[in-house]
Amino acid sequence: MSYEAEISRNNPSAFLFLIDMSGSMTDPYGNGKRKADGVADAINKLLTNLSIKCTKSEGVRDYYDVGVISYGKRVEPALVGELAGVSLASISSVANHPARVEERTKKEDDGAGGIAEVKVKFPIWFDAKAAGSTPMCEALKLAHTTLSAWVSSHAYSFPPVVINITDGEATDGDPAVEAEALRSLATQDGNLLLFNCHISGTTSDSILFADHEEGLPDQFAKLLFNMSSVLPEAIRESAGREGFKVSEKSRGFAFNADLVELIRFLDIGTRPSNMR
Amino acid sequence: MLTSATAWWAPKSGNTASEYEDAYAVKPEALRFAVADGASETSFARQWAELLVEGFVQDAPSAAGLHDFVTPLQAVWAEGQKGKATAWYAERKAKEGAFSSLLGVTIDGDRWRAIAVGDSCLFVVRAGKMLRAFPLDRAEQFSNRPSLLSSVARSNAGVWEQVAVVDGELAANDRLLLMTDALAQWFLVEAEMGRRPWAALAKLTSPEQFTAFIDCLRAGGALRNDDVTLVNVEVAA
Repeated sequence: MSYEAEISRNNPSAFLFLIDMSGSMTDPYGNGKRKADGVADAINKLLTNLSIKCTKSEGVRDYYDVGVISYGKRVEPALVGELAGVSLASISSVANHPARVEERTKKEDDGAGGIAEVKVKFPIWFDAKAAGSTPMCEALKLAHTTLSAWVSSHAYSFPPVVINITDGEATDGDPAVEAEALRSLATQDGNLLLFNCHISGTTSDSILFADHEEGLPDQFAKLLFNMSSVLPEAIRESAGREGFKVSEKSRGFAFNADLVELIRFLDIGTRPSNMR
Repeated sequence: MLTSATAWWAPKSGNTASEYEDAYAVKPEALRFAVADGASETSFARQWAELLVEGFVQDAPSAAGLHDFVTPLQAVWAEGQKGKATAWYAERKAKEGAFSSLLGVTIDGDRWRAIAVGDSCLFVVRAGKMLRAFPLDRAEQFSNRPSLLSSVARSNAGVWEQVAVVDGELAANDRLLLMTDALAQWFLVEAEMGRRPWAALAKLTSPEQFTAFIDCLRAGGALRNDDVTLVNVEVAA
């Protein structure tokens, strides 16, 4: 059976984010924000959530190794601050080394029927810097190099998950070829999972875990859909329980969707259904 | 009716004893027994689980009284966190609160009654047969997302409708088995296959034997890797 390895400190898993920071990412999308800023926010939120997910009474447990690679003017590890230049870092060192911690306000249910404005700490590891073309093939190659070493030293781990976030148009060849090579990396628990998030300027409805390419708005979305891994059963069931429409053909593909949703389904244990 | 009770536990394989996040409390003189399972994705969960079981054996609440029972315990839990959460992630995690199941059992004369939130289970065994399974009675009902009691009030909004209660008659030589989810799930799978898991557990006479038994179940893949707790209450003849 595949995709059943327990994610533990002895057998951690890995997340690698590939972020399109090409010039076109300065275009606005749905809510008027620049795509690049929306993606940077999402990455910082994802790293925040992962850190909190791994926090226990005594500190952050190393259930994951995490990396961010950006591609645009250059293809390179993209964390800023103390982790600059590091391609994969343990989640505890990520949690302990944000470049800075900003304070933001958010509205929250106060539990008594009202809404309260609360201040939350918002750590930053990644800044939007959009320029240049879209060397997606090169980014997928760098992911391959980074993770081929990782899978050979983590043979019993849940396989790595790579999340590629882009507005779709590779300028350095056919990314499907590199994607296939990347997906062929494997641990004994299964092949690497490649998820793709397509950020588009169109106002089409958002799609999460699509199961067919018909109806996808353009050829780039279709290409990314076909590059994405089919969801393993455990993730599919978990997503189904949360009310997402999924089928056996659903893939790790999101179109203009909330990126934070995409990794909620990778469990490290009991998660109370009433936990926010 | 005289009873005796033993409690055995084992941390998740790969974790140390100090990382065990279940809790149990037995108070045979008051005929109250409880187990709780602190959710592994929350922090300071063991402290919360311990507060719930200790609170239960002091003052076994009814379903209607559960809200008032939990409120002062939340204050104790919050007090225990003060000054500990200094890093940004610890602060955020503490705000989310700890979560735990609770199963509490009381014996009163010739009746037992039980209250449960979440997936810790009670099995009543009489004359070599399972008479009752509560609150879950089929192995397939276990999921990774049970509704649990939270140490922060705002997360408990939907929980009060999920409180389960049950009671039944007690006879001489009955056994009441309280267990947290992984062992309870194994127990129901075995029972559904026509085997007698209560007999297998009855053969164990020491904590060492219990640990060896758990290791063996885990090695064979029959028991999910999780903290395990068993409280075994035996009613006298």
